[in-house]
Amino acid sequence: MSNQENSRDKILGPEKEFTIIIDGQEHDFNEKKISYEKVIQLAGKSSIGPDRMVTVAYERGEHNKSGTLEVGYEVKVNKGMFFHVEATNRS
Amino acid sequence: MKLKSIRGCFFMLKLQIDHSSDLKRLRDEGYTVYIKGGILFVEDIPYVNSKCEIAIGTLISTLTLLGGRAKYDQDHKAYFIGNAPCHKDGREMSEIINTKGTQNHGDEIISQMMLSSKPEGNYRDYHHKMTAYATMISSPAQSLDPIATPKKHKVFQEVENDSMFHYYDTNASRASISHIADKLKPYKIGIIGLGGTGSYILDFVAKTPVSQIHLFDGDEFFSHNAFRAPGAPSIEELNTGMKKVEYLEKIYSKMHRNIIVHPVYMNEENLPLLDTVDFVFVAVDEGSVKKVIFSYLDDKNIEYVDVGMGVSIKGDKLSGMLRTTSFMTSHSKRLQASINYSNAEDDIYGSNIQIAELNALNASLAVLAWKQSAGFYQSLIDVEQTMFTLSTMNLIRTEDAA
Repeated sequence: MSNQENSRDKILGPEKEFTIIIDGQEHDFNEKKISYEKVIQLAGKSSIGPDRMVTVAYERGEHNKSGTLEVGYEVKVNKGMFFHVEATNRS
Repeated sequence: MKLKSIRGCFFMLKLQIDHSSDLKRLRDEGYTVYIKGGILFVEDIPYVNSKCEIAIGTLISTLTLLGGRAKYDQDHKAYFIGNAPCHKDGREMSEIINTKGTQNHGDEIISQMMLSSKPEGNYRDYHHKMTAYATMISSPAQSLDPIATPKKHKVFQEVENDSMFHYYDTNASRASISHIADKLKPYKIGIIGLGGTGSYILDFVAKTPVSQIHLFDGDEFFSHNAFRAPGAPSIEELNTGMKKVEYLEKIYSKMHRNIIVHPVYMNEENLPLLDTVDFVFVAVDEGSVKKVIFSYLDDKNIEYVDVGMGVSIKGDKLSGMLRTTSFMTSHSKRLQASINYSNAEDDIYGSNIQIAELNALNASLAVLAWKQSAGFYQSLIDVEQTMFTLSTMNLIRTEDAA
């Protein structure tokens, strides 16, 4: 995000809808927060029950925050935020 | 359960002095020379101390080996065990004493100072190097007392080798980190699952001086496994139809003396096989058995790291994540709730894409986590989990909330 865009946001107010990237695919999103369940739904994947957890990781969140999103939790959304959804169970 | 017998190592030790012409020459000339912990020792070096008294010290040097023979590596530094060697008049030999200060060379070998003296063009071999230092240090003593010579012609008993390797870890001794590697010695490691990631974990752990490495896996080693395991088997080796643990033990026992194979799948009945270990790497594909393993290890207060990767096809490219989760006794274990406990046949995505470098990276991160908990690597943050995201080349950390 360039400095120009930053100051433009401050003058005009935050954009109503922005783009987030889930598994490399762009999605339009207009809410302040996103939940684990919503991310995996948008990713076209789903956990089947508590034993079949799919990992959700995010980057470039608010204040450039990154981390993993767990079931039942939500995270503040940022323009250009990355989400990765994968079952991390192979060895 | 097959136990690996400990191979004799006294033979190996004698071989090194006798087969290295420069070391043999040192012994033949009467120096008290031996190798311990990958370090070359020349004991019985008389010297004059600051009080003009004759004292006895020891010279040590790092050692480089090529094919079991000593090969001088141009490192002209030596270390001294004793007080500062002086000239006849009690003046310190500042021309050769480079740094004063204790240095730990591993295996309880502590020196008090570092010496540095180099002839033009450097020393020819270890004989040239050690005799040069021995002569410089002992000449003043010999001038005070003619019988004060380092050439004692002792009939020497070779030092016992209690090393975990068939040949010395000169990688650690040459870099002077043997005392740090010593922290790993007490560990008895268990690796459950010797697939892509597990086999790379073994590759790394076998190069550490841990006291035992237990391998648990009932699988056979197929040709597809060759493409995500370290090394490169021949067609003949693949055709012998070995179990994964046997195939890997054959390779890594060439280096590490104490690899113990258990060609079984871990299940409720054989969990007690884990009683002898104090750290476990869980690298299994079958998620359902993880719950019982975790519960058993938690009960016994055994620390473990669980790994898992997920790779999928995105158009015509691959992307995915590598997860490494630590379950140390200090951690809350809350991350157990986010582990995927499904089995291969239940996997609705039907993808088991594993690539060697991803298995190796996942294995590296697991070994790093273990070594941090062992105090081998510095750890400024208590990291419970690392998640490597392939498409963005990022390592996302989850810190211990406590």
